[in-house]
Amino acid sequence: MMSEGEAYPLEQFRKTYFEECAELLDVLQANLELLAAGAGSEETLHAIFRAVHSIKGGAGAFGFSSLVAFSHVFESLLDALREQKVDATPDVTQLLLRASDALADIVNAARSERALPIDFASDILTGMEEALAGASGATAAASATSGIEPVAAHAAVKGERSYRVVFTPHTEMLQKANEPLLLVRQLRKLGGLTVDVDMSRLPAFEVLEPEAAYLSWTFVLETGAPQSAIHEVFEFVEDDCDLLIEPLQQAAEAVSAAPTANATEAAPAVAAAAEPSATVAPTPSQSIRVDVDKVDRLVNLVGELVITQAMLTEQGSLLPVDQYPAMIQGIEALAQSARELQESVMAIRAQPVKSVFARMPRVVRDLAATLGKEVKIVTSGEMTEIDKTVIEQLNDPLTHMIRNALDHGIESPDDRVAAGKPRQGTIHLSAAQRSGRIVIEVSDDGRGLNREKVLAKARDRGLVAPGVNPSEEEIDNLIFLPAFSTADVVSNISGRGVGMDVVKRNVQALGGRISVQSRFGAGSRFTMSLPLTLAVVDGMVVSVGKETFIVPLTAIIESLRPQPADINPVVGRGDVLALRGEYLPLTYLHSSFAIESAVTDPCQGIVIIVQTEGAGRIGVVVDELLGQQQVVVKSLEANYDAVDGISGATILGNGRVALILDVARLREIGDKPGMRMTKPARETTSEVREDMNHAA
Amino acid sequence: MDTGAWSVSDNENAVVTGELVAGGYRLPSQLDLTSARKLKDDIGSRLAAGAVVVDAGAVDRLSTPCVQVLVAAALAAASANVPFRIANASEVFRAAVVELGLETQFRNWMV
Repeated sequence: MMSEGEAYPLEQFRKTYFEECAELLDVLQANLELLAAGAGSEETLHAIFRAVHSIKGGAGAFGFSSLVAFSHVFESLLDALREQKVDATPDVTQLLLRASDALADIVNAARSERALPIDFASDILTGMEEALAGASGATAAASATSGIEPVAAHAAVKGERSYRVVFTPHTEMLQKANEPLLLVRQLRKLGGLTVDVDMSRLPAFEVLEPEAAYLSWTFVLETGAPQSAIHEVFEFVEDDCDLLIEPLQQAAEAVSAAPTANATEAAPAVAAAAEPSATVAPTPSQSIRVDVDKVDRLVNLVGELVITQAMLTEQGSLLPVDQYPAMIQGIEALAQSARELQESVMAIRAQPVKSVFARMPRVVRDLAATLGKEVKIVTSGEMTEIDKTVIEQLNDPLTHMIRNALDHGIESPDDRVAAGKPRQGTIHLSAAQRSGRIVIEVSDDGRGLNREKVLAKARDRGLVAPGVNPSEEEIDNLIFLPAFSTADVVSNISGRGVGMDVVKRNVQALGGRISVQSRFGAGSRFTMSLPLTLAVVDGMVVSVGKETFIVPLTAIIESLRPQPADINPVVGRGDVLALRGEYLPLTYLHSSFAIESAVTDPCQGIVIIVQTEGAGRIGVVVDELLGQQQVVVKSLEANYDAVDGISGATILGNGRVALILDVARLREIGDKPGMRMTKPARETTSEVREDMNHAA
Repeated sequence: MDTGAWSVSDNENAVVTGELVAGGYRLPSQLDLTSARKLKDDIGSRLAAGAVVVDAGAVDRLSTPCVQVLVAAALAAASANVPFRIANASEVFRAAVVELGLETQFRNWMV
C-alpha cells in the first residue's frame, strides 16, 4: 500500500521540518524564559522537553547527525530535570538557555547546509554533560560522552529502529473474530516488544458487553523490519481500529507529514493514550499547516473580489431604488459579505508578534555577555496579532532597537550601581493594538539620551544651524537622521552611524512611524506605530486635475481651504501655509506629478495637512476631496515600475487606477524637481491601468 | 508458582483439592469469543454469591473478550470487597496475559 507519506516529496518534508523547528524553537525559548524567570511549572519543563525531542526526531530522519547529537544531550539533561535528578538552579537554567541558542544555530546551519566548526558549542555540551554526570543515575540515560550513541549508534549496529504503535480497536472489532493476541504475537516476531495496556474504556462488569472491545494498547517495537511490515500486521483490522504507527525518533515528522492514512485517522487515540513525552501530536483538528503562498493567493483573490464589489456598488448607486429593490439589496448584502470575507481572510494571515519577540531574549543575552552588562528583557503583549507581511519585516528594526538600547542605553553594572540603580538593567518590549495600528515600544532604564551631546554633535555636523534652538523632542529625534551617532567609540554592536536612521527607514517602509522619548539618567522609550496589514489601507480619495490619488488616512491630520492671507511665499522654499501660528510648507501635487488642468491656487482647492516622518507636517494641495474608502493595495513594482512618491496603486469602484501617495516622500520630491516622475501622472496611471489589467 | 500442585475437579461447582478453596470454578479449555458471554454469566453469579475462585489450569486457548470479562470481574470484586482469585493458571493462560500487557494486574489476582 502506497502511503500518502511516501508519495510526499522529501524536499517538502524537509521544508516542513524546518518550519516546525522554527516554531519549536520559539516554544523552547518562551518556556525557557519562563523557567529562568522562576515562573515555570512541571508542564513548562515538559513543553521544553517535547520541543527538543521533536527537533531531534526530525533531525534523525534527515541525517543531521550533529543536530541529533547535541539535542540528545540537551534532551537527556531535560529528562534529568523532569525526573528531578538535576535541580533547575540558575546556573542550569542559564546553561539551558545557551543550549537553546546553540540548538537554534545548529538548526539554521542544517537548513542552510552550512558546516559549523567542529568544536561548536563544545563548552555547552561539556557543561550539560557535567550537569548530567552530577545527577545520580542519569549517566546511563544520557550516555553523555557520546550523545548520539543510544539512538543512532544502536541503530547503526543492529540496523534497528524503534516504533510506537498505538492500537485502539473499535468496539465491534472482536465480533468480527479479530483477536488482538494474534496481532501481538505477529508484532513480537518482528522484534523486541513492550506492551502497555489501556483499560480506561473498560466499563463496569454489569454493563460489560462480552463481545465488545474495550482494551487498547500502546506498543514500542524495536525492529530491523521496515515500517510497512508493521502495517502488514494490522492489514486486516485497519478498518476496525484506530492505529498510529510512528518511528520513535521521528515523532514530529510523523505527525506533521501524516506518513500514513491510518496515522491521521488515529489522532484521537494518540491524544487519549499518549504519555507526556509522546504528546508531540498537536490536538487534532485545532490547526492545519497551509502554505503561505496559498493564503496570499486567497488574499489577492479576495482583494479582486472587493474591487469588483466596489464597482458593482458604484454602478448600483445609479439604479433607481423603486425599480430594482432586490438588486440594490443584493449589492448591499454583497458589500457586507465581501467586507467580512476580507477581514476573515486577513485574520488567517495574522500572527502574534510573539514569533518576533521570542527572538529578542537571545539578542539581549548575547549582547549583554559581549558588552559585560547585566540586562534582562521583559516582554508583554506578545499575543497581539499583526499581518504576516508586517511581522516578517519587523525583526530587523526591532533587533536594532534592542541592540541600541543595550549598547547606548543600559550602563555597565558598576556605573548603574554608582547611579543608584540596580546592577541589572531592564529592557521592556511591549506590543498593543491602538486605533487600528500596532504600537511596539522598546524602553530601557539606562542613561537616556544626553541632549547636550546630541545637539553638540548635530551642530558639529551641520545638522542644526547655529542660532537655532530645537525643542527637546526635536533634539531626541535627531538620532534618526542619517549618519548620526553619539557613540564615543564605534563598536561592533552599533554606533557605526548606520543605526537609527536605518531603523526609521525600515519602519517607514512598513507604513509606520517611530519616535523616541527620553529622560537623561532615567532611560529612553522608542515607540513604533505600524499598520496591521500592508494589504489594505484606509485612504482619502482626492482629485488633482483629471487624476485621482489616495492619501493614507493615517497620515492625515486635517484638511482645509485656506484664505489668501494664510499663504506666504518663502524665497527658495516655495509657499508656506500659516496655520494657528505655525508655518507649514505646501506641496502642490499637480506640480509634483506634472498634472495639467488642476487647481493651482490653494485657496480654490483643498490643503490636506499630513504628518511626514522626515519633514514634519506639510500641506498637500489638491483639487478636492472625493471621500474616504478602504482600498486594496496593489504593488506598483510588481505590476508596473517603482515611482518615487507613490507607494502603490489600487483600482477604484469605477474601474480606474488610483495611485497611493507615499506621503513621506512628497516634500522631498517637491523640493527636488529632478526627482519628480519622469512621466506625467496621467501617462503613468493609464500605463499602470493597462499593465494591471493585463496582470489581472 | 508451582502450578503442578493443583488438582482440578471435573465438576465446576465441586470442591477442589489442595489449596484451592471451595466453590472453585474451572474454566473451560477453550475461552474464545463464543465463550465470553457464558463466562460473564458464570462469574457474575459467583460474584453475587460473594467469592470468585477460578481454576485456569485447563485453559489452552484464551481470547481477549474473555480476558476483558475476567478483568472487569476482578475489578468489580475488588470494589465490592469480594475475594477474587485465579488459581492454577496454565502456561497458555499466563502467556496470553503477559502478551496483552496485563501481567501486573493479573499478578494481584493469581495465586
